[in-house]
Amino acid sequence: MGRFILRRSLLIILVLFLVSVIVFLITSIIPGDPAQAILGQSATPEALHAVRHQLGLDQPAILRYFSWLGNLLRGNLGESLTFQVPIGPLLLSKLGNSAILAGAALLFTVPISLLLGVIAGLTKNRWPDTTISLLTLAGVAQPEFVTGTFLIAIFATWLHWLPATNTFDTSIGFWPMVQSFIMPVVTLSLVLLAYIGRMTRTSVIDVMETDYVRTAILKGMPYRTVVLRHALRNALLPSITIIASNVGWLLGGIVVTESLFGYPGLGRLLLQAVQGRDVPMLQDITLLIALVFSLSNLAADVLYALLNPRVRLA
Amino acid sequence: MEIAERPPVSGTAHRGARRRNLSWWLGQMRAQPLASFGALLVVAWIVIAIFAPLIAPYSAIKGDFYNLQAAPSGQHLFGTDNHGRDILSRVILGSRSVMLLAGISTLVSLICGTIIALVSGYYGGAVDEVLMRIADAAMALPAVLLALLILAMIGPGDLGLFASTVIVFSPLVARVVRSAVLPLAGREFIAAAKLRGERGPSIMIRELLPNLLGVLAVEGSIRLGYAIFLIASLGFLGVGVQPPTPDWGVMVSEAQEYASVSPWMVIFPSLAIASLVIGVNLVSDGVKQLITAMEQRGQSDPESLVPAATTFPQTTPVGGEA
Repeated sequence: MGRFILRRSLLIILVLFLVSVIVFLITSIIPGDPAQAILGQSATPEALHAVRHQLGLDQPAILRYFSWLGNLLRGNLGESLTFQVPIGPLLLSKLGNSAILAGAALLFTVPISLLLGVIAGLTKNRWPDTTISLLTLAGVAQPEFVTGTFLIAIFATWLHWLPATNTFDTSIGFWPMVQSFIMPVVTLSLVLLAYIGRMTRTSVIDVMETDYVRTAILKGMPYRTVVLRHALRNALLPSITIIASNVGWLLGGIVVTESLFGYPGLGRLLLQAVQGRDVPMLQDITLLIALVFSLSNLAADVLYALLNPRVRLA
Repeated sequence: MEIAERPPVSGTAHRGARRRNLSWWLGQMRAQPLASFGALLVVAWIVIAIFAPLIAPYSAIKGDFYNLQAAPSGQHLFGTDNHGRDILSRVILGSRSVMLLAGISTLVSLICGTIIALVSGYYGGAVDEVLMRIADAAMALPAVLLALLILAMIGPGDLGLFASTVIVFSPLVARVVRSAVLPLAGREFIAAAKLRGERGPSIMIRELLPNLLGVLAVEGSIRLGYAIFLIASLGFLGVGVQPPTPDWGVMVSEAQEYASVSPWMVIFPSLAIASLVIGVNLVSDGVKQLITAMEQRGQSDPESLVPAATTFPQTTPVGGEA
């Protein structure tokens, strides 16, 4: 097990290294001059030159890459061009906000989607399955801003039950805070709900058609016991991997959801970095998200291996 | 295992395939009413997109300044926006950008992904290792994030949208198709082709590709749904299709601040996206079921498109003591 984790961790480091190269390559060919962006159109050539030197932009790309990487490894994330503040603390506080949103969405999605998937899988092609499949396929697998827009129109504009925005303002009190989280969390969750639910359904159907489940049913074992003790154990195992791979969707969806509800998290910061061509911040956020995504995949692999003895041998 | 016994489709066998006739298609449609409904939605949007300038009652760009944010009425069925522009016309004309971009970039992603998968799966070894690690790195970034990075580089607009969709989707397609190539690459008919002296590219195109059509059909329809999803979302974020070109995502985001007063400004473009996504999802589910059904009839049907092992994840039991 130790060797398995070690091997996976080394692979993650390799992937993150490649990601850092890709991110650096993409961002270093971004057109536009960061020095010009800082100083504005009226800057003198001398001032531009000085700022470029200060930012290290007059260095060759390969040197800039390694100095960026070296600084990152020492915990120095550089300074934001648009906000003129150190990126580290800014990123950390936004990461916290986004983690709350994403964590709540996962807590909401996972049990519901697994339950729906299992029900649909066990009632294959009968009405509960048809209903659930239709709902997940049609009504729910929509872009976050579409479902969010409908939710806002219904629950904020029409019924006035929930606030249309969430600015993470803690002064409004505990209960209004909880209320303001409902719509962003549901918006973020619906896509995942559809996807995880459908994958769970497929894996339940596959397992129910295996020989060992058929044997168990034919030898007269109560259906409940077959499902709960034998089938679900196998059917839900792949869901761990599915959930982990969906963390990527979640992290992408967070950009759209935060933008829709005005939520001050990593996603909005990223969008501001894109719009302001804030290269250092863009690089740091991208790597951070890749790190979070890779770690969640590692956690899923380890969990999968712990629950499934056959993987350990591999 | 019935999979191994079935003769694979080779280039020649495929060319000799008989054409599906109308009654076969009607039978399929009756068997899958939901998929047919989805197809109807998609076809309707395609027709609307093609004839958009003829159907749209007003200009998508010029506004009527005496009718700002007018509620839906006989004159403006979907109402008007804050510039007095007719929302129905903007929804109709806005179908063009998203459908054209999603269609083309899905097609190009499929081609790029398949080429990567064929090279990676056929040659294996170091080539496979390098290509798959690069794909891993690209997939270590969530789709929207990678797309945002690329758009930041190229700049917002159609070219950026196309490039980012292709770069985001190609590794995903490559992964799926490669897993279909791997079991084929070791089969006898490939070894036979090698013995006949066929070259790598020829084997890939004439021997492997015809066996991948089923996987590609399923993957293509799924990717098309995600492409619409991604392109609309990027439009909403303000880095996709640029105004004044009408675009559903942009319409929803621009109307946010007026949404509480004039909800029709956000509702109708959202409904447009929702109906198109529903249509594509239903079709893609139908394609998947059709291919699965063909697979199961595989042995008796020489035209079956997919080797069974590619789409059935084999789940072996853990608690199999029963």
